[in-house]
Amino acid sequence: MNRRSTVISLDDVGDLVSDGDVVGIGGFVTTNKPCALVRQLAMARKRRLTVVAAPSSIELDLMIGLDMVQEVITPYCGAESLAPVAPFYSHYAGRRFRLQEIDNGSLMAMLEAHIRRVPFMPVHVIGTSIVEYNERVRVVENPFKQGEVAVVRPLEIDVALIHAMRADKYGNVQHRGAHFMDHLLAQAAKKVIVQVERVVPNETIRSLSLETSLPCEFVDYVVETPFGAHPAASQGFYRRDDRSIAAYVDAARAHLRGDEQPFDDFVARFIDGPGSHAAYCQAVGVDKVFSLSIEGGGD
Amino acid sequence: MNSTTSVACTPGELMAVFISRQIRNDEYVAIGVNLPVSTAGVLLAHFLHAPDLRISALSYFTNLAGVDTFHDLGQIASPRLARWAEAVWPLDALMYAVPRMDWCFTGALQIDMHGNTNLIGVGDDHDNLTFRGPGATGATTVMATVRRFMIHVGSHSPRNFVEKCDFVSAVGWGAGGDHRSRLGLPGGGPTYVITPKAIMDFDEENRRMRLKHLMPGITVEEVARSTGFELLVPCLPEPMEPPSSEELDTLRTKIDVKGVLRH
Repeated sequence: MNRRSTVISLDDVGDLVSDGDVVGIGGFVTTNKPCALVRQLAMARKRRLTVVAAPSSIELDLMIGLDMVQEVITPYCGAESLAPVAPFYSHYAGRRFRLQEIDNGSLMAMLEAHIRRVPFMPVHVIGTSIVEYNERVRVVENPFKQGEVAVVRPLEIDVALIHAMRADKYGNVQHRGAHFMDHLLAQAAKKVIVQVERVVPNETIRSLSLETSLPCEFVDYVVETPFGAHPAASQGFYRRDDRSIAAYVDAARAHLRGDEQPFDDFVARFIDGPGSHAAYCQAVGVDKVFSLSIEGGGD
Repeated sequence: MNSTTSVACTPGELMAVFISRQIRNDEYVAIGVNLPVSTAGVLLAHFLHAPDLRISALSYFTNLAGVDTFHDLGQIASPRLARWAEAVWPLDALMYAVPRMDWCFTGALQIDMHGNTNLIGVGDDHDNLTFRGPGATGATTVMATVRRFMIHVGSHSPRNFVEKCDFVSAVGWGAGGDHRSRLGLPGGGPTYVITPKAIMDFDEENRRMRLKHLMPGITVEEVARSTGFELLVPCLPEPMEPPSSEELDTLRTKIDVKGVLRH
């Protein structure tokens, strides 16, 4: 009997996500973002998604701009000095999608509550607007001492999208560097899709088993997408592509000012046009993509 | 401090220098996303007088004393930090470490007289804000639990120093007095508020914001006019001691090589 392979092609990803799903996105701001997977969902124009994202950036903003999202739970959406607040997120919050205010600690507590199958978890949001503007937060009497305590409900993810360094075909995943809250998103999800820089032999994983960050129990599908985090950074592989992110931000801002052409061009060129991850890299420029190696190419 | 000279410098550099002087050797601090001023302050302390500092740079536990130059203050959340990491922790483990930290830092769209801060947005209708901020980030839980924290902002006017924040994403001293501890928040609360015009601290009893230092060339009247609530003003607030040439040199040649604080 052969052990089942989890490796799928990027083309298969669209069928794994349904309209209305709760989609989790891993990484951190502009590092380790599953952008190839997000572009695939964007090409399929999935609708009415609830997005639960670790501190996020233009991967979420693009989904909002394409009207794929009905609800967002994320502590941050921006690109630091390139865009302190992401354009579509900023403009459409409350107007096109419901935004549940949350911070890192409380978001992780929601995921942990589901992982541990406990009915709620206490958090430190009392006294803040998160109590008022997040439907999954309540203030209750502290059962152990006088006073009140804020608690959050468990949060289950339908499909978690994660970027990592490598995996074997059985779905044993290794990050290079931090895995942020990827492990919590994966454990709280019904289905987990991981895009990796390289699919490697099982022998490689076993020879470095201390580095396995997500054992195959927590991984359903693996997609090989070298440079797949682009324009975000991939730890140990390549830097954030500042110019691509700035171009996106400019196009989105123009759209919000009523000039729709630049964003339409962006979508045609980088989302709908390429048809494959390799073609996406070609659309960006392979020389440009290669120049992003962590230490090379200056800044 | 070392010999002081009157080298021209920017408000961002002054703020970073003040922050650096508050940090003692052997402390444990965290630097945060999109906070170039406090990141510069932490690194400056580290390079000049705090070689044993433990720094959580997001997920990366680092000691940067031997580092030549920092990569880019405009992008803190960068995997380039990983090259200096002595340990790499996931975000939940990092959150467990916050109560041990001596200092954390937060920015704000709005600040009130008790140091409560708002990163959510400005406006009276949450679904239709005048300005939407980046979100609560890690600040809510971190500022609830860290031993002490500083707030720093790039402007000081009645627009951001307000009577009441439109939204609160991190509690400072709550409604003042002992309100913070009555809310059950274990951390030590905000210590300083740092702006291009002044450094403020908080009265030990009522926890109202109080002028501590004026930035060079700024008057008490100007600070009072720039603050949208009644600021406590001591008889004679001292000007901030200007940066030394060593501080500025280190800042410019090792930490802020791209000039993020000089723009």
